Amino acid sequence: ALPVNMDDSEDVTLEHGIQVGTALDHFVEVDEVKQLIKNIPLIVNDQAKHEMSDEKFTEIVDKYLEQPHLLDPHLLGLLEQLIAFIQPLDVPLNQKHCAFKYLYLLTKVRGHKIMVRYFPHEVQHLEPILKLLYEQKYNDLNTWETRYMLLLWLSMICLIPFDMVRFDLPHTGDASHSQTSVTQRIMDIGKLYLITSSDNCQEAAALLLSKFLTRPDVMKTHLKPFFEWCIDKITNSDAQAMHGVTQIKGCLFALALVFKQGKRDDVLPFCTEVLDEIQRTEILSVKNTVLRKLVIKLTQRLGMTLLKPRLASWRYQRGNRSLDETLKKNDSTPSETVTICDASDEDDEYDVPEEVETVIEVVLNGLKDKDTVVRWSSAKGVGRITGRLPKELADEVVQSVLENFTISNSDGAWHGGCLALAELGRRGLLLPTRLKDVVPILLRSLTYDERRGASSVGAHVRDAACYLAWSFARAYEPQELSAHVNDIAQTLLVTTVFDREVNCRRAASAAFQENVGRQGYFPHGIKILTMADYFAVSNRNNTYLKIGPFIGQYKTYTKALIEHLTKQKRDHWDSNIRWLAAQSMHKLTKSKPDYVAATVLPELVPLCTGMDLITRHGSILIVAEVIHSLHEIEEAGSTGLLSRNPMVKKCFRIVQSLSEAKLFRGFGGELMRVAACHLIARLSQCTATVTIPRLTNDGWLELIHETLSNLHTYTNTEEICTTAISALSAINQITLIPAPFANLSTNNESMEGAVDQYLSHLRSTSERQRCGYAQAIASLPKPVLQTCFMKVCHNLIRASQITDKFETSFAESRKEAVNALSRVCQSVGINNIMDAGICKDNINTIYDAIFFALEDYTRDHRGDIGSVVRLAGVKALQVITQLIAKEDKDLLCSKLMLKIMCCILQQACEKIHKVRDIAAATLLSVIYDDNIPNIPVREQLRKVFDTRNPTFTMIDLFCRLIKLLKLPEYAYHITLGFVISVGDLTQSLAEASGSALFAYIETISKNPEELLNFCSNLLKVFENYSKQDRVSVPLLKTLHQLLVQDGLEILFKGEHCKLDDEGIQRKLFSLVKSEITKSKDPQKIMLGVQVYCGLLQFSDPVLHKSVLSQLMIMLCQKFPIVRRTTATQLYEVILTFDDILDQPEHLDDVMESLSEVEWDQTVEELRPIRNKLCAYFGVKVPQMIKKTKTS
Amino acid sequence: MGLLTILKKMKQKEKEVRILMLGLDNAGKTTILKKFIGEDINTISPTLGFNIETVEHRGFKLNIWDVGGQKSLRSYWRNYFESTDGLIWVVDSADKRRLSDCVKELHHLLVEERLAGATLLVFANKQDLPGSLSSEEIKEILDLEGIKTHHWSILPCSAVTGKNLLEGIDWLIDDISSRIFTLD
Repeated sequence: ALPVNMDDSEDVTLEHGIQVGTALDHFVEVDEVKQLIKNIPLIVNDQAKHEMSDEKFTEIVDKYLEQPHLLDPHLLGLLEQLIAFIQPLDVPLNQKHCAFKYLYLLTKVRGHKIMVRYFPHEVQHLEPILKLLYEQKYNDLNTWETRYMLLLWLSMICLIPFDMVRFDLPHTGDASHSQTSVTQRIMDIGKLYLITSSDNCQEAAALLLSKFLTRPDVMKTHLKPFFEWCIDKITNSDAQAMHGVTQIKGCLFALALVFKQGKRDDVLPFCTEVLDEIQRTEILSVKNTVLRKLVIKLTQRLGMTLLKPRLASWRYQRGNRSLDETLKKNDSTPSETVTICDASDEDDEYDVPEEVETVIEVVLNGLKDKDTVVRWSSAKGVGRITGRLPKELADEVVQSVLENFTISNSDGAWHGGCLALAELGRRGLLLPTRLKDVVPILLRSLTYDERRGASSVGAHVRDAACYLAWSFARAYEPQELSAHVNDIAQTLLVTTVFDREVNCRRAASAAFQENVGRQGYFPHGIKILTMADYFAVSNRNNTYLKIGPFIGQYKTYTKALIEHLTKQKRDHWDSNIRWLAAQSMHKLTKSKPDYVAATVLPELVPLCTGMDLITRHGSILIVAEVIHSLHEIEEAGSTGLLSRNPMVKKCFRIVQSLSEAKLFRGFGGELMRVAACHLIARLSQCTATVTIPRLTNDGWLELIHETLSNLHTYTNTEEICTTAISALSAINQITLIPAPFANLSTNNESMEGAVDQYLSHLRSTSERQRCGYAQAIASLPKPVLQTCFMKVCHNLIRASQITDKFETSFAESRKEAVNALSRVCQSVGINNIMDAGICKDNINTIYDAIFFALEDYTRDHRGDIGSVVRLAGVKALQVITQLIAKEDKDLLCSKLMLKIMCCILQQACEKIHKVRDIAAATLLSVIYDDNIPNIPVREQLRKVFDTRNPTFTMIDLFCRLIKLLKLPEYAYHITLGFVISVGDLTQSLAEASGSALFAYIETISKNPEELLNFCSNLLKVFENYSKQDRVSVPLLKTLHQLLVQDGLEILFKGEHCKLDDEGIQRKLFSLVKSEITKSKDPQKIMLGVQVYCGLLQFSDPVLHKSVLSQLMIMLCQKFPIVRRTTATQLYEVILTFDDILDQPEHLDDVMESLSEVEWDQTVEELRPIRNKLCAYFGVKVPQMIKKTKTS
Repeated sequence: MGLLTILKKMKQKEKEVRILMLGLDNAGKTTILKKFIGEDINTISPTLGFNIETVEHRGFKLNIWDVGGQKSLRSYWRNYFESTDGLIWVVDSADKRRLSDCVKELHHLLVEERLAGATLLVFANKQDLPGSLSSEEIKEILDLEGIKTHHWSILPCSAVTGKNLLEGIDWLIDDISSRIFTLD
């Protein structure tokens, strides 16, 4: 065996569709398969085992579907094993069926053509197999594999080289009429399955009949009747009905096979008739694809029979060299590589019957069929038949194929045409003289893309065109193609990088590679291929933004790429493509700026306000990017490139024109808004080279504000909001700050007005709008913010909190407010003036707001929506703290730093994965930032987190964090965080955090002091969060788990468990009691019951009595499930601690009551039993509740 | 039925085999290829880029990729849709000075995932030159016995006289076809 090397897994992930790692090198499970076969008798009578075995068998062999040849060495052995079930007469039928089923599974993998060769096919097999086949029910759905395999087998056996007549026993006397001949029996059963089964059996029957009928002896007597029978079925069945379709399908299939396998002389006489009859039917116009495909196939076969088999002497031969010839020649004279024979000398011998024209017509028409399979079959037909035609006629065929490529023809016709041309090219039937006609068609097909409403068609045409281009590489000598090389290379690369579909990009890349390798003259072929190989083109962003611009650097290709994007992609139906085209143009402009400025821009600008919505959108995007790119080039030194371009003025007017034409309203209005905002953003970034008129600017602002005020009315709010905000911040940069080239004076009033307007929108009733304006505020220029820092802060802080009930679900806008707060702080930095920046007077306000955000645990139907706010809070902590530390570290006092660290650590322990990760990353950057002062026990933190790589696994992170429990500074917050995670519903989280916690408890289990510290923090958490289910429920769960571990054992024994003057167990008891007593949540109550039972482990008789009386109440609690759980739990405790009974002699009674009584019964029935238990436990019968109820 | 499906089917049907010919520069790769296709071997200059040629042999269609010594062409080692079936490593048996380079390069190549499973044929070329090492010696130097990841064989040959070229290809095809195709 040859181990497949898998060490270097460099680009396994890239290699989509090619399975390197999974390639197998031999049939590994052969023994398992043998065993499965051996076990057939053991499993057939047990349906469950039978199914398991079938599934296993299928699973194993299906692995080899891609590399079926690996089965070959074992096929014979497996077959023998299976046939041992099939041949003997005494094997039960169900075992035979099973054997056939496995035989079929093997056949499915290996293919029936290979498989039948392994079947035994000697004379003695004929009769038993035929008999077995006759014994089958032809319509039993469960055993079709048996019939299928028998038919296949028979198709092999029936080839035995003896006259069939010899198998019929010569019967004497009158018996002959009852004895049907073997030949007749084979024919009958074949025909039966041919027209009655619509599954694989039909195919097998067709195969059997075609093999059998083409035997010399059978042919003489049965071929003609069979043809007549088929034609009768074909012409007289109803092609619209299921039954009729099945019959016609079978007959067409059988006929096609007979014509393929029969000797030409034998079947030639029937050709004309069959062709005529088929022509007369209307099958080619029926809906059923398979029927049409079969007609094409049959017609093609008829054509191949009508024409003598010969290779066209005129065919173009390139690269058809044989090693035997070249290497055996000892002289090194160059051998002839191109042979185009004189057509005249042989054409006379061609005898082309008239019917062939009909055949050609059928296959040519088939190229335009609406279904791919039919077109593909036709294309192969065109290729094969043309190969047998004389040159003139063949050229007419080529001419006809070329006529497929007109605008009026459907995309299907183009696809079929490309396939046919590729087939012809591959076979050397497309002579170099035709290249001048074919190349233009190739180029158009490579970018064929017809918009149909909201999408387009043509991917299959482009893919087929790549096949054509690929076939060129092999078909022609480089000098034949050289005149067209540039055109082909350019268009292939356009498709390689700019096609929307990955399969087309890959196909084009493959075709390009083949051409570069075989043709040699493709400009810069190797360098481009290294960048744009099959794998690199998988990612569309990559092809548009990296590979495309890279290729654009080569002059041969620049213009072609630019033209394609600006002419064909500007109105592409997919808006993502239009965006990408625009971004790609930004980069490509750099390679040919003068051309873009002088030619592309004037062409696109008028389209920005044109009729077609899609074109307007695409054109505006491209114009925006191109102008910005030209601006960058001008800034780098090309004076006047943009500033003197007359188009710029026109661009300034685009927004106004759109507005006047009311194109921001109604259908497409959203699309226009996005495009316009993008244009505004890009133009505003060019103020270093062009000046924006005041009026234009005002109009833009108006559009942006109008857009942001109506966010709730759009469907794609997010995209609109983002682009509007980026436009706004771009404008702000020029209008609110005096820019060197802008003549706009800063006007304090307008500035304040703008800020106030933004701030007021933070109170909007639309969450989106709040998000939008929070971002707008964040992107205000520094000088503006420095005039009103506190006002902005207060408003943002308000927006980051829930002040009204309707705001509860606005987590997104609270998040944006926190983000904005953080960005605003970054903009202004430290400043002693309170309204201008962060200082000692406002630092606490800012931090408190963030601490508050970290307490956002809002939940709704989406789950923990507050987590996004907390996430933003953690990030803000890091950003602001690092900023202050850099500018004025004295502001960070130790009290503040302690709080900051506690918050970060707590979040790092909590249950949302993303929050934990960000908090951990923040922790690392804070403790390793030497600017930051006053971090309590920084060294210990660094020791626990001895890495700067913030990618921890969940378990690793928890194991590190738990070590911090030893640090009194952080113990409480760590405890709080862990409690929530350990008691969480998510199993993986609870296990990871739980195992860290319990392992830690284990290490301190001999140390009462530390245990007590831990417990006291736990109690503190409990006290602080009592009746807050978010914490108290997981806490109860954690407590329960702690109490069943051994870790706390030392505390149970008494002595060490004193905290203050009360034992922790008593404090815990009263906390649990108050937590669950009036609760209406059965889950929570049951958790409480579990903790109660855990508390019984403490040797504290007083506590026992209190706990037991609570449990007695629970035994008659109103939820049946609580009663039942309490009984079970109590039972388990007493098993281990029987000393808690007051009357030990009643132990058995107690145990019996707890385990045998149906605790789901009504409380009335249960009460007497419960009261008896009270006596045994020595606690008072609970009265209070009853009293309050009755009174 | 996209292009790549068509090509995969065609490869199986037409029994196409993809062979990569590699080796240090001046080992004689292009000469061997020219010899295969029956072209003149007297005017050969260093290969910049690569050549693909197709020859037929024993019913197989061999697509032979003669890739120049440049490393930048690594992306050719695995084609767009098919893996490399066979690898011909050409050694200049007379160039003793660079044999250590040759060993290093070959072993680098064999761990390349894109070449996993390919059959390796080593041509100890230029046997016609005086002082050339025998194929046994080259086998030792290249540590062929140590290769467990690929089927391999080594043959002494001469691109100029054509000695053993056909034998080598025969072995290569036997090995590849037993893996990939069913012998009819």
